[in-house]
Amino acid sequence: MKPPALELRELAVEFGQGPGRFRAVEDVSVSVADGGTLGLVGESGCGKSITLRAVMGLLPSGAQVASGRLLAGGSELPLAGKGVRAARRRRVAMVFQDPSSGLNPVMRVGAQVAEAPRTVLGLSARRARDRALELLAMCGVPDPKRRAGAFPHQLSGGTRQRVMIAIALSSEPRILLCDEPTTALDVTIQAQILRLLQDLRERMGLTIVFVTHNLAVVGELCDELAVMYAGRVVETGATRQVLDRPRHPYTLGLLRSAVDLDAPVSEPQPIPGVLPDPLHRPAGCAFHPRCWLATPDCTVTDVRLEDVGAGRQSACLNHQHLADATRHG
Amino acid sequence: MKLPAATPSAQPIAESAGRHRSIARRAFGSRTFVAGLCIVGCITMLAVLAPVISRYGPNQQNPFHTLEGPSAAHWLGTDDLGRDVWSRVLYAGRTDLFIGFAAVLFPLIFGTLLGIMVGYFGGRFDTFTMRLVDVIIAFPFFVLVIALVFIIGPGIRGIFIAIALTDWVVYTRIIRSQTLVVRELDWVAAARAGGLSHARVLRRHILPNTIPQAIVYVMSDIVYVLLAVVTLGYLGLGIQPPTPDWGSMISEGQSFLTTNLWLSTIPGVPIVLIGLGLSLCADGLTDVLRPP
Amino acid sequence: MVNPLLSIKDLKVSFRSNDRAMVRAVDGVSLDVHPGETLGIVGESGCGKTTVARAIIGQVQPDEGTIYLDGQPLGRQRTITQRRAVQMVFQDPYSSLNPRMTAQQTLRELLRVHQLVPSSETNRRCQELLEMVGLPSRVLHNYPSQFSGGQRQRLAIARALAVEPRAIVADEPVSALDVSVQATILQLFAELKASLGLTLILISHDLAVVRHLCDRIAVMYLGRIAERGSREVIFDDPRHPYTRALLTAAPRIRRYEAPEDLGLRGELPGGVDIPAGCRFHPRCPIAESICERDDPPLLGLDGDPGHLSACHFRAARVANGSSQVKRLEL
Repeated sequence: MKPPALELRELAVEFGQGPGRFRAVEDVSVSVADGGTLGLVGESGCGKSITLRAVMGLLPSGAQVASGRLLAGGSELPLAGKGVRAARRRRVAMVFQDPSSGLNPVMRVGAQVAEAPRTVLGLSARRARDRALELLAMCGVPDPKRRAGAFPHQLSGGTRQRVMIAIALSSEPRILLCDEPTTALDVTIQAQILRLLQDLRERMGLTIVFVTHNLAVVGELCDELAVMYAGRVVETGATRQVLDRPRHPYTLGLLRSAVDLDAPVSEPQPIPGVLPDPLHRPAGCAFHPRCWLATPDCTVTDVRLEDVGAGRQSACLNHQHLADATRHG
Repeated sequence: MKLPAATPSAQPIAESAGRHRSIARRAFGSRTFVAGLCIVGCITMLAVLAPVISRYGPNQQNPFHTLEGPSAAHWLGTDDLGRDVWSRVLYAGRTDLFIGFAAVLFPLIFGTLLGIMVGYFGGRFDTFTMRLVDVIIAFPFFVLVIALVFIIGPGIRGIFIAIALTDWVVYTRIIRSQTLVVRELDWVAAARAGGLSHARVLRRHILPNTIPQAIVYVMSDIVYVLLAVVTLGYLGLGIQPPTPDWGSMISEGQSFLTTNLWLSTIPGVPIVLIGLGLSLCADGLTDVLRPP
Repeated sequence: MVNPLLSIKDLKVSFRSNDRAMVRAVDGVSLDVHPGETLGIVGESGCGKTTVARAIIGQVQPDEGTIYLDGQPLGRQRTITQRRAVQMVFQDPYSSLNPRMTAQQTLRELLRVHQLVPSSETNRRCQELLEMVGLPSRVLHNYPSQFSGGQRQRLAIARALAVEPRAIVADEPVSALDVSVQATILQLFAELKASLGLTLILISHDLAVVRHLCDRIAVMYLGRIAERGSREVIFDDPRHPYTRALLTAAPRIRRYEAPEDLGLRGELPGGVDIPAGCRFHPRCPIAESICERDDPPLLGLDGDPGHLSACHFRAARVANGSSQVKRLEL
């Protein structure tokens, strides 16, 4: 059996020093099969972006990897240290959220797409240029020859995002990491970009990890998903199963509180309470102050992800209650 | 509108981690600011207490003890007229520092008020003012001040007028830029939509959010003005004798550079120290004046 | 028939863009808002919905057209009463509150300037306002930096309510908030609507948000209204291809697959080059030659004058979820 395209084991990332030190990400283990799509879902502060950046080797200054291992196709990738960037060349690439800051404003986009083919793949200037035009066309940029000579600010938001995807693909990676690439886009453009990612995945056999706070987007794009809360993964499984029959109260809370076009027009039900302060995490399960299923155990036990059958995992001590409720309800 | 019922959507609100500290507390919590304040404070204190500390009057001549080096009787020696240098430095400080601190007040106040007005209202008033600012800024500051003092007449009055006419421009520019940014922010739009007058918006919403930059700048401006005063004194256009002044002390000591070096160099020391102290204050203040 | 509270007639607003060209942000919009109703204005970036909002509260001046409040036209200079009548809640909770004023100072200033309560009652009224939006009174002395995004929006809503407005315009009030927090703010709007009879104009790019709260909806495209009608007809029987595209494109939690090809070609043109004929025709999946020549007016449908569409093929019913109309019945 093929090893997973990407496997992250027990990642922990710390910020700050001394009394201000805290763990933004704790005990995060996820894996993606070759050619699959994994969605990392959660709200602000849950650690999904940090996790992605740790995988990409792009943690901001002030953050350090406290522990964890990363394997790509079975072989180890360093999470920190000198060889971090080099190890990811030609294997992992990232698409960022904000095209207006992800692109170099003073460089023509064609040149930006051609950069990796020249430096990483070693193509000649002309071949790199041709490759850039190919990639732009593949990413659905209309009239690529003309667009290639444009500067980022002359292009629309959707086109800029396509250029960012082309740049990510230009180093011929096997794995594409996407950090909320459609959040800043109009909904019709978002639909086009999601289709593009699907297309590229099928044509090029890419593996995609997609970070978003939008449950509907992850539902439409990803086969599997991992829900994160307060720096930990609280539930994983096949997307359809998790969204139809969640096995963690936070997931259920998110589903109930989301406004969705297919849901009945009745009010969305907010999750009581507030997101925990990363410096003052509640003891035991971080969600327990807001959880209607909470039992005394939840306030003390250090909950971890456990297998709950059918390829799913949940970090809830009382996940069985949810299984029973959603089966009958 | 009737009295509404309390909504049942009240959620438990987490108390935020950061406490609000008053500006004074934050200022004294900043080590940079405190260090700067100490330096400036010490020197100012010495100058203010000049009559108390010094044993001699600044113009007390003693023809029998001219050009002497530092001794127990005269800590910094005497000049060519037998005057005690230490006393003269202290008394000169009273004059020069007073001008330095006082002369910036008009530019600060006038420049800031003008800046928020033109930045907020724009239009031809703004265009005209900024072209005037451009013209004045085009001249090197010292050159302009010297020329003005030359025309108006040397002395304290001339210095104050010259500084008032030229120094306000930078404040206007700084405040105007900041006002242009602040006036586009949503909370200003909300204030206007809420029915607040322009005057009120300027006073309570624009000014508090723009003036910190001016306050930080005024620290370095004091040094510029001080240097201008000293330069004028050196050229004989500033404080007129017999009032002691660092600039004229430097100029008078020039003839004795080879034999009594300290006569020309010592008056420069407090200027350097004040500059350092104010620099540290400005640094510390930038952080302190952030919104709470 | 109750008279509209707000009536916008043929509003046109233009701006000078960075490279000196005139951008027609709003190009002929007419809308009525009735007391107690919630009107949604939906559209993507560049459609002009935010400009409409700012024109309603008087932050931008119309080039043409008039806005009527209670039948009275609003001129360049509004009276204090007129300004108080319509308040706004802004999109970005992090720039909509003066960071140097506490919650109490922000509210008290408005109460004092308009002398809404005797000065002995100001503190009590501030607490009441906070209660109305679900904030505990102990946060009166907090600065905005001590509030979360959701709490800031609540305070912004309290500020809008402080002057006792007749209507509130909310410009994307929840798009900058987390999913679970969005629900709390929407619930708050629903409660205020029920308890105060609040008239609300809700601007959003998110159809799901609008569907939840609004009685009537207007869909805007490139400065004009493409379609307008009650919530039911807009969602169940859209009669403009752009509305259908928006409905299909909007992600849904249990669809589990990317939306079908919308048939939309190209992208939004820059606001300077408005296409001739129907402004949507270059991107429209069902455009015909008439669409390139004639600009379709916003007309009501036979049988439902409250449902208007600016499409030549407004009479064609299209099955839900499908944006392609292969054979049209006119």
